[in-house]
Amino acid sequence: MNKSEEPILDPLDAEALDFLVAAAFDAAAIDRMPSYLRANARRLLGELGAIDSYPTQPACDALIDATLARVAQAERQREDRFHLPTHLSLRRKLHIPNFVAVAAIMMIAVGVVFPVASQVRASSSQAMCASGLRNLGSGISAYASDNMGSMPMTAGVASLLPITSSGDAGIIENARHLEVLSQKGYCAANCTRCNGARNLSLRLPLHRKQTYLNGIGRSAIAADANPVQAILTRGITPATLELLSPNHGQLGQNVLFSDGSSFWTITPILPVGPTGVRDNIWVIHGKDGGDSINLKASSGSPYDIFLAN
Amino acid sequence: MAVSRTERNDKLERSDESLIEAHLKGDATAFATLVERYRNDLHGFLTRFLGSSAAADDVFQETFLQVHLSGGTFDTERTFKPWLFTIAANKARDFHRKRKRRATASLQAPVGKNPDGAMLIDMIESTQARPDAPSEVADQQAIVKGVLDGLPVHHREIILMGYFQRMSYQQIADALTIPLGTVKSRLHAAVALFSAQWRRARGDSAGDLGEV
Repeated sequence: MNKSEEPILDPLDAEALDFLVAAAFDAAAIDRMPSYLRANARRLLGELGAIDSYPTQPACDALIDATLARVAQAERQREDRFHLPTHLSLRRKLHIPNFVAVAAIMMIAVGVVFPVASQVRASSSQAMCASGLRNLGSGISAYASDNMGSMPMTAGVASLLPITSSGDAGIIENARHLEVLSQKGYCAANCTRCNGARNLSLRLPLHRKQTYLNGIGRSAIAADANPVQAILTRGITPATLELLSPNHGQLGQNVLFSDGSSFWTITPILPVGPTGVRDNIWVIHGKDGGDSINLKASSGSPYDIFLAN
Repeated sequence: MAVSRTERNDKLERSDESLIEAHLKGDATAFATLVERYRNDLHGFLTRFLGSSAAADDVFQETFLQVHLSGGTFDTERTFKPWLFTIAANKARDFHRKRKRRATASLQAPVGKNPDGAMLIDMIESTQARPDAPSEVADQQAIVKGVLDGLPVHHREIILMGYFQRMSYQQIADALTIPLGTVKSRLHAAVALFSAQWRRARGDSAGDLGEV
């Protein structure tokens, strides 16, 4: 039915209807209406009163129970869906075993994640240190190229110093002369340090002569800090000389070779020189005691290596 | 949420608004009291609106389920009844729309595979009064049902709210979310149509029966 086709109530009926609505269709209110409306109001009330005789059945108890059951079911479904405690289930949902279970899961997760994270951190540290070591190798190579092939230390003043009984001076000079590289711009300021903080060891010429980079074959020229030297300088003789550098938690060490390559090794005993003689890079070849780093000791071969810092 | 009839009666004196508030705070019996309180009022409204007691049962449940789900949005400063009937009217209109969209079948279609067996019409609840009911009352019921069911939904809805539920113009406006002037004009039109149909049906009926 269109709006234009809407039936129109007689104006008196309309006025009477408004009165009836205001009086909640109370028949007694008709007497309080203006007299000219009463007949219309009574007729309307009579006609509308027929609606009361519309055939209906009262809502049965089963309908009420079914309604309440449906509401209860909806509430349960909502709780299951969100797993969140509502005002109806707050006390029921939170028990100590829940907290214990959550805590146990978290501890297991931490137990799994922590070692993995430590391993990742250690690998990252090794890689960064190896990269720094290669930069040092580039600096040494550049220095040698500018100085007739000689390595930094052998071109420095240490070669002119008298040999001391303890060898400490030589050791100090060894570390000091690496600074030439950074001072003259052959490598970055912290290129003589593992990851910018921990010491690196450098080849020490035991024969007190200049060492030429292209004259030592493929030999180790630098590595992470020497653990044997670190112990001996405290006056302690290590039980074994096959120690691993402390730079990486004694898991192994990065080693730089004279050809500029570097790799990670878990043993200090490496093949050196053109003949591939196996040598402990921390100690003088053939020495296995406290005099391993005594600079007075002569190396039997110019290819022997001794990495000191 | 199960609650005994006695517990329900104990709460009948509390206002609707306090009951819905108590329900929101976790009182398991408050909601049952509300359902109990409106069982006949709302069911009668829905039966007249939908023209079917079975349909009224469905929408009755839907309505209270919605009241429960939307209870948090109810402003307890306002009156509960118009809000309840707003939900009921919306659910009833939805029911009408769904019923229109449903596939139709002939009432003469057989229920089973046997073409000579029972027909669908045999399964439908009769709208006629029971044979043992007094004939005059039965006639009156049949006529009023025919007239009311024959009104457009929006007219039937507003007559039921205005007359049957005794709601004021303002309450109807709130429930249907339409302007007050529209409520008045729509109720006037609905009453005019109902009166015209009612008189015509009564006249036809009286003519058939040879009365009045």
